[in-house]
Amino acid sequence: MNKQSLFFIIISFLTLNTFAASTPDYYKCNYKEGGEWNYGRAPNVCAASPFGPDSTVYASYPHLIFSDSASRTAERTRFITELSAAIRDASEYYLKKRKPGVSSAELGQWKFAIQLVAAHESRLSHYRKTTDSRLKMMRGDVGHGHGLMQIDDRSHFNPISTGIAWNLITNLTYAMDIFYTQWERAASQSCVGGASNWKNRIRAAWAAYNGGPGSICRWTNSGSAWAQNDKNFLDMYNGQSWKTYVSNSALPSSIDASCLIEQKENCAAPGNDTSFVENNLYQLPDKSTCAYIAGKLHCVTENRDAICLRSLGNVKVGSATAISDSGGKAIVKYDRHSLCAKYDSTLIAIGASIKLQKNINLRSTPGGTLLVTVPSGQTLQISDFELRNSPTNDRYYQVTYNNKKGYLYAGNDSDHSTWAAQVATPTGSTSSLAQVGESISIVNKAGINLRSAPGGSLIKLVPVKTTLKVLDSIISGTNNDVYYKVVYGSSTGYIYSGALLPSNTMSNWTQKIP
Amino acid sequence: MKKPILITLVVLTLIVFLNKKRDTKNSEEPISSIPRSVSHLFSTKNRNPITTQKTTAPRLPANVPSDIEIEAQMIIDTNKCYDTQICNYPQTDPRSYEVALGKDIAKKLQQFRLKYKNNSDVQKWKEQIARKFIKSFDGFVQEEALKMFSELPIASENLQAITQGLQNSPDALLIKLAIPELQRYLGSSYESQVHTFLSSTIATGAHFSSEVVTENIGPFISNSSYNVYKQTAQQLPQGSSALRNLSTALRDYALQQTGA
Repeated sequence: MNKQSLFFIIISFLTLNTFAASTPDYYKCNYKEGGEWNYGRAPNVCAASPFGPDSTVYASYPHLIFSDSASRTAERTRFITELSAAIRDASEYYLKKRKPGVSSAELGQWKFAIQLVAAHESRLSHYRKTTDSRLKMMRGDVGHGHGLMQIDDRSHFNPISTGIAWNLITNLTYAMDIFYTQWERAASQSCVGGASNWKNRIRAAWAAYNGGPGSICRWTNSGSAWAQNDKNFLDMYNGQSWKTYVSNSALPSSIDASCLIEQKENCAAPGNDTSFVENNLYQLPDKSTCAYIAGKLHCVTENRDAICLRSLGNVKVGSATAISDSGGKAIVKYDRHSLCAKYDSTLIAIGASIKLQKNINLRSTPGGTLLVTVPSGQTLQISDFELRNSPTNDRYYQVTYNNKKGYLYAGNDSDHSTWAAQVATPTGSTSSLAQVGESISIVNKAGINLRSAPGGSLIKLVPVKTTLKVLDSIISGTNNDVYYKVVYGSSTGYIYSGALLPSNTMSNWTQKIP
Repeated sequence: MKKPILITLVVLTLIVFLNKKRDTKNSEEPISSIPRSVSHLFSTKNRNPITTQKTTAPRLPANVPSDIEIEAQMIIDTNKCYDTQICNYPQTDPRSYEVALGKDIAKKLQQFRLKYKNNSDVQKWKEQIARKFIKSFDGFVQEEALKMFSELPIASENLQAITQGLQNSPDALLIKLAIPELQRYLGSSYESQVHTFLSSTIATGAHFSSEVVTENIGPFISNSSYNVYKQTAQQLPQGSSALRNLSTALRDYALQQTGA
């Protein structure tokens, strides 16, 4: 062994020691498998499930999973064409949102840049179903780079641990958040030579994306230690080799990119009806989802409740066609609580409590990353519900366990009783909603109006610090608004007591008295 | 085992032992001696300290103990390693250098803050350091700068630095950490700057940053800011999570004023 070798080993050792506390290589990588450095199958892949449930991926991205068991060439073309369409829509929605009034030239270059970066970073690889039938996700750079945009777990560990890189659309959105910062910086860099010098701007933004903000002009330095990276990127820019596998660049995307960016899951696929079809779903500009039945549009405010429209007829809930207006059709709006209760009578209402019949995972969203496993026997109060997958009607309940709020799966129509059973809420529990017979105190400084019904005519104002006994409670609306039925003086009526979604505001209104 | 290999292993063991000892010492003690804290600034190519090259960082007040001034200046000068890219941080992959540099700066900021936690004499240096590093591109460095700000009195220049430093930040966790700091400015004469920053982040900021601001917007809505956020809501796309969060917070505030 010569001196140079010894020096190299010493330096390597010191370097490894420096990073001893960093994220380990191939963090949470089970069932690792290789691939080839080609589109859709870049090495390596690891099981996706440690970061989120496979069911979410299959439901949200059925056409964006590369199948290893299919004919390789045909599958590559299918997959890249589909993924390219999804990236196109997502990148367009993103930039228009961040930069209202963006020029068509910049928008076009941005969309191209995002495709280019994805192609360069991962060869457009993300989900892959391998021959062992497992769903896997691409992991590059000794396992540190996660998925399509190669989000690095050494720099972005916390977001990655919440599943941000696992979900295809959040992987892309998070990366666009980072890339956009460099895109804007690049516009004024002297090495770029002007905001509309697109080629240089893309190269600069990528260099900073790849090497960190300090590397924004790295591509101009042929002596840089990472000059080869910039050359490779330039080759990709010039060659645009992914386009070889895009059979139709105008293909409508199989996903509703804007919905998935905003909601992350449970979005209907885009429909393509050219006229109203009985029992099909349509999405109005305000994003309410409507079933066309007997000449009317029957609507719920959020797509996630579209499944409950099946209580009105044989509604097809798989896709929804976006429409610019109602076309003169009458619109009938439904409250999610009564509609869903009518659709599935076994659904347990918000405010009630359930006792778990087995250990159940609590997730950040119904299909999101694991927060904690709640042990069997726990009694928890429901603060939201969601039904998915007709006709099985899988149900998810939002609960809070050990200060962690999330959703747990509670079975389907046929087996829900083996998951969770409705029980009386224990008196004096720490649940946020007061039970019948419990007392509350008015907290809102202006008092709270007593009304004949939720949102009904005014009876009188109940002043702050008044104590009332709860006779009943009603939950209504998209935000799960809470109304208590109370007696004040000689009058009986309802008082508003805050909303449970998107965050709980009840503490602004009333507080339970032990 | 061949003799050269045996010698190599002995040398390696010794180096690892010494290196661990040095790390342990660093983690237990705040910065106490300049030579050790500048050692990383020697490039492997050029043994001259980088801090002697073209110092352009702002000068610190003169009427202070020199060791504090030098410590503060050392931290500020470390930032130059981003531009030079020749400081002694690993170049094992394209990001390793800046990741290691960021962690080093963050560690130095933390040490400086803890060492002088209850020392009001160093307020001006803390301000200079925090104002500089809140504009870093490294979230860990910015987080440490935020912690430094939280121990300082509110000031117009501090708020300006915070809003500039976090403008367009893609780091939603950092934005969430900044919320309590921004709340400190409510009721001050600088409050409108807070609303301008937050409304801008909501409307055109990074997606996840916008979301996290709207999730925590409740305490910032008041009679004076209600219309600002109402106009912001009108700029948001239908169906967006930010619109839902903001609309709900505005509705809740409006209902509270009338008793629902």
